Amino acid sequence: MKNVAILIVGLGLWGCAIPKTPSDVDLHDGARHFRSELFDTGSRGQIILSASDNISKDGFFGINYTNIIEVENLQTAEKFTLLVDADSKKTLYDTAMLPIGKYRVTDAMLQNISETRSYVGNTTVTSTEVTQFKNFFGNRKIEFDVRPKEVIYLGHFDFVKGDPRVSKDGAKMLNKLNISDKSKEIPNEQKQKWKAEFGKSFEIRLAKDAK
Amino acid sequence: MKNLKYILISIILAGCASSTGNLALEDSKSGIDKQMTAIHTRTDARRKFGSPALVFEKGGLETYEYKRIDGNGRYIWMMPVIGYFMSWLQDTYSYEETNLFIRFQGDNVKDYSIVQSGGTTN
Repeated sequence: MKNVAILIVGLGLWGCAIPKTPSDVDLHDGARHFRSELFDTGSRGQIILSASDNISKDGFFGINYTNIIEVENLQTAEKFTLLVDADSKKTLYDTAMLPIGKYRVTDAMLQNISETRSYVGNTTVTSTEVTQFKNFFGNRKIEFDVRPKEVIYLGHFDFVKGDPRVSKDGAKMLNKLNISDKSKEIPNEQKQKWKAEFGKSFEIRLAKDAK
Repeated sequence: MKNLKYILISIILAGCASSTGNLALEDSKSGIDKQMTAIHTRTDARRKFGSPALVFEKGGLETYEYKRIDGNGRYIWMMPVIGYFMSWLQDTYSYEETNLFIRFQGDNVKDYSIVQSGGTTN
C-alpha cells in the first residue's frame, strides 16, 4: 500500500514536471479568439472562411489533410494561420479575430501528420511523418481587408491538387486554389451560433486577387 | 530540504509561463496607469513602449495600440496518474492579453484606455 502511494505521488510529480509552456505561436493563436471587449474597441474585425481539398479521404485507409491558410497584415507584418481539418465533418470552417488592416495570403498548403510505431525487441520506436503539399496559389496576390467591428465571410478556399504526371497534350496539371462564395451552404444553425458569439451576422466580402 | 522543495516548485511553475508582444508594457491596469503618468506625447510613448503593434484612426484621432500576451500552461495533469495520462492527449494553456490604446491630438496624448481579456485554449 505504501509503495502504491509512493508510485501515485511519484507519477503525479513527474506529470507536474512536464508543463506545456506556450510558445509565441501558441499565444498569438490564442489571441485570435473572439473577445467582445477587444472587438468593440474598433481595432479588430472578425473573419470566417471555409476550406476543402480534393485529396482527403475518409475511411480506414484514408488520409485526411489539414487545409492551412496563412495570412499577413501588410501594415504590421503579423502573421496568422487558419486551419480547417478535412477529417472532421463538424469543423469545416475557421474563424479569427484580427487587427484591422489589409491582409495578403502568404501561404496555402495541405498537411498531414502521422505517427507510426514499431517494436524493436522491448523498445517502442515512434516515428512522425509530416506530408505537405504547397504552392497552391503561385504568384497570385490574394488580399482582403479587415475593418473595424465587421464580421466578414472571406469565401470557400478550395485546394485542388494537380496531377504531377504530364497529360496527353503536354500540359502539367498544377495545384490550384479557388475561392468562391458558398455562404448559402452554411447551415442556419452555424450562422446563428456565429451571430450569438460575434454579436452580428456576417457580411460577404470574398478574398480576391489584388489588381 | 524545505527550501529546496519550494525552489523546485518555483522553477517548475515559472517554466510554465511565457509572454510576447510589447513587453515594456506592464501587465496590470494599475501598472500601466503609473507608466502613463510620464507619457504626454508620441515621442514619449515610443521611447517608453517602442513601436506600436497597430496604428489606426479612432474617433477621428490617430491611435497607437500596444499589446502584450501572457500565457500559462494548464495544470490539468497535476492529478496523479489520471492527469499524467491526460496530458498526453491534451495540451492546453491560458492566455491574457493586455492592450493599451493611446489617442493623440496633434502630438499630444488626448486620452488612453486599457483593455484586458483572455481565455483558455486547446
